[in-house]
Amino acid sequence: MSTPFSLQNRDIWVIGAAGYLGQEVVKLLTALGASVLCADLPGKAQPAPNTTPAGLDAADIPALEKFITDQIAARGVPHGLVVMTYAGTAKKFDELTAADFDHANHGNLTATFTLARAIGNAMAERGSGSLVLFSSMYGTVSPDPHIYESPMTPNPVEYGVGKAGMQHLTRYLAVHYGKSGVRCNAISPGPFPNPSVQHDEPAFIDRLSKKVPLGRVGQSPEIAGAVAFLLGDTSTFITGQNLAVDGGWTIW
Amino acid sequence: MKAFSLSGHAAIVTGSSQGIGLAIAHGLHEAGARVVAHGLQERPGELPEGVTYIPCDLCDHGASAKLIERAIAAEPALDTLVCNAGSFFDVPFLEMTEALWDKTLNLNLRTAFFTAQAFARHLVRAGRGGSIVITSSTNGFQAESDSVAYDVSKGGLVMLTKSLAVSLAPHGIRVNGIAPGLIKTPLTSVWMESRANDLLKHYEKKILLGHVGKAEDCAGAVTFLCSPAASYITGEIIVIDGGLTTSQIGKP
Repeated sequence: MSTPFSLQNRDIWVIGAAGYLGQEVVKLLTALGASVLCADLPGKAQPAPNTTPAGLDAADIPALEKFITDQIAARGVPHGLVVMTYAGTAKKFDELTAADFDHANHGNLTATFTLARAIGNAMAERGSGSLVLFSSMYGTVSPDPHIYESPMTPNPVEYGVGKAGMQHLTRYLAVHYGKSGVRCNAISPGPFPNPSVQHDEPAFIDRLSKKVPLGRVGQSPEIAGAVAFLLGDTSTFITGQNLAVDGGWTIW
Repeated sequence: MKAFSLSGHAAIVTGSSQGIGLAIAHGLHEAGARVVAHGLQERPGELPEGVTYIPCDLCDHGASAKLIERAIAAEPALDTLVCNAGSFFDVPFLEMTEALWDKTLNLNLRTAFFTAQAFARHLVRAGRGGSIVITSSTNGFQAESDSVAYDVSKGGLVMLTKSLAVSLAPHGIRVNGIAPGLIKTPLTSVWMESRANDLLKHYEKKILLGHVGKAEDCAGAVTFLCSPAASYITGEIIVIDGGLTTSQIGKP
């Protein structure tokens, strides 16, 4: 069926494609007609129709640069790039070392910057493309520690720092690449705990849900529409924006 | 594609006889919704067949509730409202009159509030969820000289969007918005013609994507926000400005 939201004949690279949210994104993109390069840590991405699984540790910068060169040689410059990777520790605030902090920032900010610049430059040379970076509600507001009472681990400082950086990277890239026809937008998911957490931690899910105007946590298919919208032809006048998919978490 | 389909839904779009509203009405219709259009004038020729058209002046006493009543009579499954009616009546601030201030705030802000209220009352009474989209503007968060009343009304619509989202979430009604930047419409053509040589050039320079937007650029975002693809999005305002406000507008 033809729709203005179609991604027919588009090649999209999804980095972090095997994660809980990544899988749903890939599902919708292929359903809309895209071919998708599914990159994730080696062994994670599984074969599926119209996808190419690939192993990649995005934090390994030389390997990342080689990956980009090789994949562009093999499949051409993609129409869209979606970056869904993140790095963090499970450490408590006072136990976090400077090296831990650097390590997380490297995985979040340096890896995404390297990836987005390399692909962005190639898209700019062609004159079109759409970059979609993943921030978080915690790139906008700080976590409420009460939600993460034991046995949950606190949402760590380095996570939000990296996600806030993603929102600014988005604006900067939008300005840098705007005149070349390359758009860059961010998505900030709200609470999307995976199914095992939803099943095993009802008290935690209840605390999360109470923070959401819609009164519930998000389910993974609910993230995919925003990605498809920002990659496709119905958003061609939208750049530099951060779209929250958070049930209203950040508005009250 | 199911995720972006509005089949089975019915929508009313206020201020849809021309410009952005007309493009939105077309977009919703194309996505499969039943559509009721509204405007001040006689039915415009460009509306698709099958679209009901109700002319009325929303600023008349009780007009919002009457319009919603007539829309329900035409489309009993009505579950989607786009509050788009609005205009620009500013003169230089020092010359502004009470009458022009009232005219701006009444049309742009007051009618949106009471149209949304009449619509929400109907859905809550019927025990049905639904979706509201409010057209604000980049003027809702970045100021422009000699547009004081317009800026205030659009800033009000930005907060109306978020505040209504919180109030209506328990009833299963999502409320989101679009904030267009400089879009070529019958309304802005007058503005652009009078500033053709200096200010317009500055705007075109500041729009990262290099051109003034088309009304159609706003239609996809509204369709997306009203569709199941946005089921976990509420209180969000999608800026459609080609990047105009990402690095600030400023002056020539």
